[in-house]
Amino acid sequence: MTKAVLIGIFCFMIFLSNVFIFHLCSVKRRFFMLVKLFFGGTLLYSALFFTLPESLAQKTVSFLMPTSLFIFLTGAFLHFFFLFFYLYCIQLVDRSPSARMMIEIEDSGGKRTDLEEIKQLYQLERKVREELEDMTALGNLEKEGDYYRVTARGRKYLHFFKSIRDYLGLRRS
Amino acid sequence: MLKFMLLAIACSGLSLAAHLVLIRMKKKGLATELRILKLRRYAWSALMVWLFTFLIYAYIFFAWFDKTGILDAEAGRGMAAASFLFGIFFYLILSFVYLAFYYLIDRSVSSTLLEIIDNSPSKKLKLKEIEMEYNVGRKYETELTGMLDGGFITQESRYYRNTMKGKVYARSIKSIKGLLKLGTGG
Repeated sequence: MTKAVLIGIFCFMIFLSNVFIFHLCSVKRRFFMLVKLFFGGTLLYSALFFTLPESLAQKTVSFLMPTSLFIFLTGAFLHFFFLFFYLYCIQLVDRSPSARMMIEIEDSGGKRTDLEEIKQLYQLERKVREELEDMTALGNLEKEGDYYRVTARGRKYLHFFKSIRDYLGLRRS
Repeated sequence: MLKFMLLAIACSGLSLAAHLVLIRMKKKGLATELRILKLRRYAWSALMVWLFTFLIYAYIFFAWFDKTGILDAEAGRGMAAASFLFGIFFYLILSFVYLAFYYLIDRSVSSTLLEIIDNSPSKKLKLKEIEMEYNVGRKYETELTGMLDGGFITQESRYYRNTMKGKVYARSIKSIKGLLKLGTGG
């Protein structure tokens, strides 16, 4: 199983090459590219899994750290991944505008709505207002009368996001 | 090794159950509590629960590790198949973490709003100005186009209707929101 984990990590590194592809090339169908890379990685994983011996992986791990520590860290990573996954799901469920729109369509009388009805049922203006309130509460924004201003903390957060977004060649959402 | 991975998964399952019980037991949050603060409270309590079960994982791991022959236990064809699948799963979760981060960078509303305010000449804006710059009307169209492309909804003349996939998704999200006491959200 050491071999499986090591090859999994290696294939993930290959998958991460999308960062450089997106930075250097203009890719129109990004999601399609990510899916292709992911499945390419799976094929590579299978090929490596059936060709490389377990003993090679054992030796590599033993060179880096005790096997017990490697197994412990793999389990710990798995454990905290599930925490991340759970928190991510909560955030997605709570914040997703598309999920909210689908719920509104489903709850409407005729199970169908037009754009004007959707705008009535789910007001994005309210979402903007709430996002601003949230960021003020978190200290990323400060309110001066009717005006909102970005704080030093907010600017750090913004620069972090913006630099990664620019590197990946993504547009402002 | 597999038994320790199963142990980690079991500890996470225990954490999830404990956290859901904690959420369900709490009678009512403050009516004035902001959503973000509620989410932060959830995140902190989940972290505490996960850290506690991590101690259980660590204790069992170190108590059992020397008593089990790892290499002996990994012999056999069934074990090889389990090992192969576990590696793919491991690759999948690593990719998932990256994609979650990518999605956050791509779709973050808060960073967009911060940028709009920070890019303004006076570095400060009123609510109406932010709404105008954010272009809420365009946002509706973007979301609906995304849902149409993803096959979650269909368009019949000017009406939008959920597909079967959309219905399942909407109902699942609604029940999870109910379970986690999250309100309407969006």
